[in-house]
Amino acid sequence: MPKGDALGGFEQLVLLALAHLGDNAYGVTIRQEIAARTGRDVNIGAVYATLDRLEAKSLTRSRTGEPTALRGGRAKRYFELTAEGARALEESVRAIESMIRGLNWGELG
Amino acid sequence: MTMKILFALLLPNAPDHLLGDLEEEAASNGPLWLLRHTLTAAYHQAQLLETAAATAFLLALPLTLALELRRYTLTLIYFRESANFTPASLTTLALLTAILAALQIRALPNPRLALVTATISTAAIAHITNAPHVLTAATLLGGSIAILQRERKTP
Repeated sequence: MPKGDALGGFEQLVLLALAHLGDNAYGVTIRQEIAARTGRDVNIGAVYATLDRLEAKSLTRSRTGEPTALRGGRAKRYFELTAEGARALEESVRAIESMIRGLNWGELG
Repeated sequence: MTMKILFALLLPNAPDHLLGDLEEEAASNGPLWLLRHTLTAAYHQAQLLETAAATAFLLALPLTLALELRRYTLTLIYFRESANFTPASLTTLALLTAILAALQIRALPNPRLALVTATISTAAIAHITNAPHVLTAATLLGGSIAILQRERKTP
């Protein structure tokens, strides 16, 4: 990934949710996965704005699913990581792990 | 039905999958959750002007209009006769012109042309009702900001 295109905090969360969800990653499940794991009340609009940005950077790709009655006959849009997205996520997470290593949380603040 | 009206007002150009997600989750959450998430989704969809106008319409207009109608029955031909606008009457007129501007921007294919027509119609309303032309300036400024914001967010 070019310099200056580092992943933002929420972008990392969305990519990690995609990694956890596998084939079942669409708006609702992504939002719920992040909410359940972080305790944050995430908005679906924010999720889609981030997914659109990640897709523009070729870090994710999407496909349209089948419409269902529960959704008023509207189709789902499924997302998945690209190879480039997986690499960017790994680099980003490793950088954070490296920064965390050696910290003594009890001495902070 | 309520959900359809909410989506038509706040998310008129939103993609189907976003509306489907909101509808799916609305089944297990309350109406306040739906309103809050629809409003925020509208913000993220960069439909700022429509959101502002629709929020005003949904939350503020019925109350303000009821108060203004009561006043009108007491002081007939209030608008034309007096240039001394009260905050309530000015708010009513501002909301009406904002909704009119949003409808024009949504209806016309070219947002810049719509901004011009919205500004002209607001100026005409301000002239006819003897309202301050700060409304016209606000329409022009707010509309320009909304269009610039949309162009910045749209790839």
